[in-house]
Amino acid sequence: MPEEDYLRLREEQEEPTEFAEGWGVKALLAGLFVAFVVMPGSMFMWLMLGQQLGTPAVWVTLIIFLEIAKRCRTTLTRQEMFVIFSVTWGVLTTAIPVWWMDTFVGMTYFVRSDAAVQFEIANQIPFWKAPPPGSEAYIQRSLLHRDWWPQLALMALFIVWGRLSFFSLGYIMFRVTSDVERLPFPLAPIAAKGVTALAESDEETWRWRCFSVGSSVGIVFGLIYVAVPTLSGVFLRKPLYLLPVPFYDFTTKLQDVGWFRAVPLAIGTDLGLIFWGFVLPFWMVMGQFTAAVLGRLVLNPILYRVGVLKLWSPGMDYIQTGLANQFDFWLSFAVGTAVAIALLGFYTSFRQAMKAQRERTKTTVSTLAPPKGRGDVPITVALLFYVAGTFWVIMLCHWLVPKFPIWILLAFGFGYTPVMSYVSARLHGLTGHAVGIPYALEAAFVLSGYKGVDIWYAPVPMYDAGWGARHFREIELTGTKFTSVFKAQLVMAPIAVGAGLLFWSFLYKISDIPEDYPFAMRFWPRDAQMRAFWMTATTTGNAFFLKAINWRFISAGTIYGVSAYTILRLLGAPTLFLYGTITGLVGDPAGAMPMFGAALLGRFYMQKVFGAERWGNFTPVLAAGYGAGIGLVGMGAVAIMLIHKAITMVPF
Amino acid sequence: MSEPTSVEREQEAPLMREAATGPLLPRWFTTLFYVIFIPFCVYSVFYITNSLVMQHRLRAAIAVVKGSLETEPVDLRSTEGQAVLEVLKAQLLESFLYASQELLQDEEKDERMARALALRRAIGWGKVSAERDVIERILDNMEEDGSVDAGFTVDEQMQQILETMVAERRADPEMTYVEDRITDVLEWVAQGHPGQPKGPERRRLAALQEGYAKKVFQSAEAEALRQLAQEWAADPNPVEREAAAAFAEMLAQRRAELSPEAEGLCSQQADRWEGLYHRGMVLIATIGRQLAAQLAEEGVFLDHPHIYQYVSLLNHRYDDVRSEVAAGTWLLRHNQFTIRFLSYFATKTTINPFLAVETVRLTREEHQRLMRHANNRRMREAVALLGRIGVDYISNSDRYDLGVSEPDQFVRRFIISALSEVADEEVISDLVETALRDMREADLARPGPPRFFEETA
Repeated sequence: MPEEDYLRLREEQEEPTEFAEGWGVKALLAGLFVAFVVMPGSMFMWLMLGQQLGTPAVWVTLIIFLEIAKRCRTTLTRQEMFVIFSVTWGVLTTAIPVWWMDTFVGMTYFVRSDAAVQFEIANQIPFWKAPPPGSEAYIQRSLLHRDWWPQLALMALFIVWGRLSFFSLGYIMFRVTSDVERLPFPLAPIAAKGVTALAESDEETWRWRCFSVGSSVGIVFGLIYVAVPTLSGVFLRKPLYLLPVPFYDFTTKLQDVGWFRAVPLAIGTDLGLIFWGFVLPFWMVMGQFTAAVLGRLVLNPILYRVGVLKLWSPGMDYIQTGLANQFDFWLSFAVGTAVAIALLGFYTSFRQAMKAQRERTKTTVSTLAPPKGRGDVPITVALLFYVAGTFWVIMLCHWLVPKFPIWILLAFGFGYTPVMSYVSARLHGLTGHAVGIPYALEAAFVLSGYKGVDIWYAPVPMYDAGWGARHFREIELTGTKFTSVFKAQLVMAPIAVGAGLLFWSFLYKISDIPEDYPFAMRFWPRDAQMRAFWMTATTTGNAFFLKAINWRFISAGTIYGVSAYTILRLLGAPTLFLYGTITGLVGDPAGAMPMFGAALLGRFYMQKVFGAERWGNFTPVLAAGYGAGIGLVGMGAVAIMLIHKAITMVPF
Repeated sequence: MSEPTSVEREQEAPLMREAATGPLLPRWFTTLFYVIFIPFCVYSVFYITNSLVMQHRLRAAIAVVKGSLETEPVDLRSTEGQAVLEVLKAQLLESFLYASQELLQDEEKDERMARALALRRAIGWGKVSAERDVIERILDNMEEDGSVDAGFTVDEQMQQILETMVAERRADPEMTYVEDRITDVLEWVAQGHPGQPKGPERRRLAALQEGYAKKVFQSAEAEALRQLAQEWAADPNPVEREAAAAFAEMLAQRRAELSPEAEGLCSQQADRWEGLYHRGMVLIATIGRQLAAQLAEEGVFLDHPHIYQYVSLLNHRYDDVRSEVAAGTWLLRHNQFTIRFLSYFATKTTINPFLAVETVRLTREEHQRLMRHANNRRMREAVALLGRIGVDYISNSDRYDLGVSEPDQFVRRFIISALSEVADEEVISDLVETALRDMREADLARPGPPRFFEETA
């Protein structure tokens, strides 16, 4: 898409005319509702199916509070709904991080996992990340044991720091890229659109119809996909799965055929993939499909025949095949493509920035003045927050890992982070997605000559605050005062931590996680293997790491990325196709097929029926509705399951 | 100038906005904020600057002890050595960690050691390159089923090389089954390939050739040899110039041989550089031991990963470094993790197949062999230490505060039972026997009934 088109998107966005407060008793009650009602369900779903209730939980909470408000003869304003949205999301992500190893129970598994033992790092995990070997905390299966306190304290500090970075650097980035540069943030309106759909629920608008259609589909599918396996587990010895979860694996069934050797073959069974296929740009889905299905199908057998894929052996399933191929080839190739994405991203951003700068000097003068009543804070306060927060984290990191070179921490905190955050904020502003320098942290660890595993857990001040710019834009589009979000985060963070700890303890007491949870049982060992593998880069036994990181394959990945981009540009073809191929090549291929089907359906049927623009408006609302539907079913089913588990827990 | 486009107009938008309404936060809050955070930032700057300086000083001190290509390792009894020790002892924990880290580093990262390794490889280059050429010739004339072309003959020189190879391989007790089969083929070819071929061994010979391909000069070694070639090429000594010319051939991966004089010179230089490196490592290990003593005396908290790293150094290839580490570990014996990790290393009788992989320089077999040797060294040291700690605990258990609920049970499990488990291991059986005997005697020598060896007593 040419730059002008991106910028025109901003003109099409509905700017709010006034800003209002969204934080209040309603938002507080919503936060408590999420923390004490939704959270256990979300944790259980996450362990069972690998899906957090994240987005669905947000919509479910909104629906419930809308209905309660109606019956109380009051209303929820758009701003209140957005703060509830923000609170719900914040509470859930605080208690259930994206990466399972960042949770307490995740660490209890990782420390004792085969991967940590095989790669000889189990004894090298510091006391401030997990209790030492032989700790009573593992024997008692208690997350409240005092050996967990250092980790708990650090987690609290990290949460504070995370909020600080959002309110400081994230806010600064927003002011620069949105207020001054007026970038369009094309994905920001999606969240706002969802809120709008519900806010206008009293009137029969197309948004509400779309949302209802999505919800109905979600409920029906949720009954089959979530409710039946979960509830049957209550009555039957073995849960009944009407559909394989989360994918149907036919890797072992076809591997006797020569052209399917070393090919991880599976198809995702989650209907949510179809909705994602509708929402994502068409050419990106095409790229993903081409790479994930055709690339893997053609390349892997060739690589196996020429002896590149050595670890694969017949009998390996989808997960094992993927893991073996990762170590032999795809990990290095992925590093290479990530480098290519970064190079291309920088090239594009730099070019656009230079052009915008030229235009601006001709016609405009920038200003940092914010609009009236938005709830802005002085930029100097934000800057001071950022500086103080970064200093504080550097000191903490130095205290935890005293032999790691402090100048690297300074370089990350005051060099890399602000620069990359700005680049990322601009990319969010222009394209809705961002790129960073891939493996910069890993490279810094390895090149520093550091020996030890603790550095992998240290709070290195390297992060991307660019997403914060997008989030502030979302807040702005809903006409919500920024201070509403500040207050909400301040109040809800400790509640989220407390509730999270309580429910994790509860689940951990019930069973030795990941035991009894199909998704976690299947995927955690794989992730643990990859994590342990990376950690060996800074241990003395790093031969496996050095063998898997192959410079030739990294170069091949980079060359592929850069040359494909050049060719597509020369042909005038959409470059999103390239990014799709890259994510498809390095990602999980199971979801590519359903998304491909959905993209074709959307492009060649739905757009003709509804018109391209209308269909484009429908898809995000449909996806949000679907999430709400399946989330409602999931929460109900999980609640029954939890009660059952709790009352049938045996004392031995 | 043309009319501005909509995009350009949009970019002008900030000017059309109302001016800021001022800070939203009340002035008293903002002021309080500045009052708290500005002093904090100032303090942080001082703290971080101090930490930077401290890290620099510690690194510099370790570098002085270790020595470099230009400077010899410092004598710890000298004034300079004492000054360095003072610097290190001022930051006990950090210095201990830096010392451990230095000992854990790959040896080729040290310029002196890279030179020593490069020169030793250069000394063996003539033999290796000759053997590689011979295997290449055999492979050129061998079919997939292991048969050799009828017209293929082995000349005298080739036969001699093959016979030497066979003799060396036969004398090596660590050769694997696959490697023995390769030796059979080499012997068969050396004898003029009589009778039936030895089987489809071409693949295995090709693997042997891959091993030779790894024996070229790479990364730090290649760089070191390149530097030496440059330095020696400019030297008036003809032996050095001759060696430099040979180095150039070697770097180009061509066949080359050093004259006996050049070989002698290379050997002497390699010994010298390795000697300096070795001295540096021993000095660092000595400092590590001294710091461990002080850490134990002052009761400074050591996290278990730091103890693990230090104890894992018991596999170091230099005997005197190992003995210093063993002495340091002994000083840390009152920590439960020292005993846990010694027990872990003493009972770790096999190498980790995940880590024993083919590397850029080593074949899988060579790497496994190296790891096995290191593991055996560490097992022996760990067993000896466990035995000593066991005796000490049995005699003076009141002096131990292991931080576990049942210390006797802990010692039984991690020392006595652990050692009993590996009593039949050939590599350590003698040490295990001695350790268990000593502990039994110590237990019997205690007043009262035996506490640890009741059944056998």
